Amino acid sequence: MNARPARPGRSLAQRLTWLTVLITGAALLAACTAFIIYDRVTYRALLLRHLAVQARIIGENSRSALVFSDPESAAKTLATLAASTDIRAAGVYDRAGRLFAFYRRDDALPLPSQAPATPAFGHRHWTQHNRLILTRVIVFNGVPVGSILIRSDLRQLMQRERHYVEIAAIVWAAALAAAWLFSASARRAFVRPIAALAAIAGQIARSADYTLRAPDVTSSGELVELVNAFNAMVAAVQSRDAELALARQQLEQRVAERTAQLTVANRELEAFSYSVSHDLRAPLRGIDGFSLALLEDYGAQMDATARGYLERIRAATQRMGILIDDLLQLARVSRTEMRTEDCDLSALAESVMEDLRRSAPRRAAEITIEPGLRAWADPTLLRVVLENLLGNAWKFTAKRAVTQIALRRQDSSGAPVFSVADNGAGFDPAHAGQLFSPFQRLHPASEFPGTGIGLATVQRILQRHGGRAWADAQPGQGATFYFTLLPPPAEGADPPPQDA
Amino acid sequence: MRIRWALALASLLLAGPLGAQPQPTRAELKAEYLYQFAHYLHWPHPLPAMFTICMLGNTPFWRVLTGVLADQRIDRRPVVVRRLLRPSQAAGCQIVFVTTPAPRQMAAALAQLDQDHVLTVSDLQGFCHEGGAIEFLVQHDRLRFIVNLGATRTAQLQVSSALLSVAAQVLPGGGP
Repeated sequence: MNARPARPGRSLAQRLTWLTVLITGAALLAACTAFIIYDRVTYRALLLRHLAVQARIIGENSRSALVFSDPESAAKTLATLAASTDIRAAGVYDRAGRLFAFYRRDDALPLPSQAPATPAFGHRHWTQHNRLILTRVIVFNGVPVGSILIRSDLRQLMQRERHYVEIAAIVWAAALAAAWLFSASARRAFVRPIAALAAIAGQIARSADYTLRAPDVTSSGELVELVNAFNAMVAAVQSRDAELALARQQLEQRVAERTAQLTVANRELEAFSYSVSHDLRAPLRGIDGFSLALLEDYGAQMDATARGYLERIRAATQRMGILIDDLLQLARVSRTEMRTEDCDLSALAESVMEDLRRSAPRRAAEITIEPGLRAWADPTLLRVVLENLLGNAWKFTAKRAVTQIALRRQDSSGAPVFSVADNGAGFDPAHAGQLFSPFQRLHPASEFPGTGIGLATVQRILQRHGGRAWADAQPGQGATFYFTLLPPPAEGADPPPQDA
Repeated sequence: MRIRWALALASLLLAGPLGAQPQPTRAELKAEYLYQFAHYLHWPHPLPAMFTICMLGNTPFWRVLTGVLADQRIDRRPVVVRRLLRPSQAAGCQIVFVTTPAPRQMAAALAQLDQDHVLTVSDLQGFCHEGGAIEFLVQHDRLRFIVNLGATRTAQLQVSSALLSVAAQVLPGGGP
């Protein structure tokens, strides 16, 4: 599996429960807060109006008491406030601001002995330690005769708010219970089938067993569709898998059959060409031998024309011998067993070049062989490659004043690329692809002798080594042949391919 | 009106906690109460152009009364103070404050003052029992008063319940 499987998080049922609880809680909290704020504002306004009305009434009723200095009467008037439970204390102050008469519930704090600052018109109110205080001037005949102070506490408001919070808590608890019940039924209805589906899917992903199926669900709607679609999908995968396996099996079988046929055909062909080449040599030796005998024993009795014919027969016979040798070599490089080892490519090339120079010691030549080149190959076959490539270079530079041949290793990463460059006749690069096919020649034999088998042999050898050869040239400007070999096997790695 | 309120408030607020204003004397308080009684009675309409407060008798209280009532107004009418030498001079008075004669002549004096729409007030003991409307008395070192509803009814005056609520005693109608 390439994609990393997503980590399973909280289950669907838990998420649903949490969602319900969270939404209910948030809604309740918002509603409760809004209610409490609204209630606080409304209650405070209501209380304030109540206090203002009471202050006015008490003020009106204690005017005469103030005017005629009758605190008892004022106290009696104030005592009527006992009916208003939210008023904790109230006091009437005389014109000089002294406390004139007061009313106070049992636990209420005493009133200030001096009247607080009071506006000339209307009332003034403020809040102090959760107590709402309101004062108002008492006017008689347009003259202030004193003031009244009424003090209420917000105890009732607090109590109401406590009730609200309690109710909200109860509702929340009920919502929690409802959410729990809902999640339980939800688990039964769709979470459990989905979980079962997920388990089956996971099992299939792990074991690749496509015979498994998700169990049917009793509920209706998308879940049934989901399960059916999943099962259909698994069935489709299963049948495709089977088809694929069958197709692969058939393909492998066909490939094996073809390979066997091909191998047999190839063997037969190689055996045929080998035997043909080998068997051709015996009659050829006869022709050559008897032609020589005829020339030696009866040459004096022949005229020059007959001798010329005989010479031609001999030359053709020898060319055919070379051709047969080359064919045999090509057949051999395809058949012999390979033994790859670390070869000294530079030393091999030097040795081949020495043989070539010996064949024409008077030729001026500049031979450059990069020292220290090594290759992983069968040394016998590698020598055949070098004999062919260097031999070609030597052959096609014969008409140059100075022969120039260079063997180098090209800069490359991975498999090494070697090149053999010369300043010989070159060729048209359009025909470079044909070079490595047997019997393909780009120059007439009269100009440069050859059989057209050498480069085919080179290509065959390099292919057996896991490499290849290619060429690059311009007519008259020399040619460069490149070849690659597999890099030496790393320690402990598989040996290079060895074909039969 | 509002400016007066504001000034009054300012004085109220600026007043020190121990009362920068000197405590009024009992005589001043009496004069003040006389003035205030006028506000707690329903007077027949229309009132004359001036609200007249009269004083029967010759005592130093006259000076206090004129001092306290100077520049005062009742129902937007300027208050005037008149001194009566005899009860028969009481015509045109709205309130008559009786300081003389001695108690034994009181009944005769009150008989002459018994007119419609005249409030009789006195600090003489037993005034209400003799038929007077309001009588001052000192109770627990505080100036208080008795209201005789019979006398006010006879004088065709209606007394506000607010006044009755602060009265030391209210004598029901009918009199002694």
